[in-house]
Amino acid sequence: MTLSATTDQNASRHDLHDAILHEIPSLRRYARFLARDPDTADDLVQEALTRAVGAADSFRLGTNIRAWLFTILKNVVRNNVRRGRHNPVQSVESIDAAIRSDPADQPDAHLEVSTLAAAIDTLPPSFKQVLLLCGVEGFLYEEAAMILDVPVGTVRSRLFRARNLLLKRIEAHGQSPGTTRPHGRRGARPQPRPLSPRPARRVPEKAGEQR
Amino acid sequence: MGAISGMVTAEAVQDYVEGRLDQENGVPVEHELDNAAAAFRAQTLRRQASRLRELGARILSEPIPAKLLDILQRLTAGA
Repeated sequence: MTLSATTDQNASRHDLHDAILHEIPSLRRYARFLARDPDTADDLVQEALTRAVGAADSFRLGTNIRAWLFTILKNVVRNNVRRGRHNPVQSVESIDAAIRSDPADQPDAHLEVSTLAAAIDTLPPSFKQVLLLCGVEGFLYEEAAMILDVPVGTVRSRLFRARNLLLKRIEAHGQSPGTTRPHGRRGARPQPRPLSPRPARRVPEKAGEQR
Repeated sequence: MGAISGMVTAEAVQDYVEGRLDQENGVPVEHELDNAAAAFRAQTLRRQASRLRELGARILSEPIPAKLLDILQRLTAGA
């Protein structure tokens, strides 16, 4: 059922308005990582929103709106790159401070997050996109596969390789890859400890189900 | 994607950390977490995942620019 076919079209448009509004902060963050420049990022989001609003009448109720919006934004970014309007080559120092931000009361965490942001910036684009979607935005493999139009196995593989690259680059940066090694000795490993409770299995949403 | 210990691969540890393994496939990984290498890998990935979720937190709390809100108004204009 499309919005235009509903008996309460206005209410549905308000619902869609609210749903899109809710996702704008995440869309801005994703775009900020890809564009690195805040103004460029918001231009990309602006174009994506324009397309989304323009396609409102064809939007099907029950669609995963978050994945739908990110798909539109991904296409906008891709087209921008093809048109040569995207300029990803900047210095690491130019990464927006907002990306590197984290709770001010955790100075160690700030260092890690800052290094992590810089390391992400060096990833190949295809790895970076998967890492941002799954690692930062919390999409399931299946949702990221739909957004990027690639098989689920490709998402899993790219995420695996992206995580490995991050660990290596952070190590090369001279910082612990996410955990402290005893006495700073390379290769020293902490004693194993129980990692329970095991995280609950994340059940993929049904296709088309709205988050 | 080599075995990190025993029959468990580094990819399986990632799936475990991502919470994607069911009981049948999760138990072998859990068992292997007694192995220091697998435990270290899981701990590292969890820490990394936690830090990733913190990235850009400030952006999420920024006011939404008016030019973006204006576009949304078209949805309900005249409604």
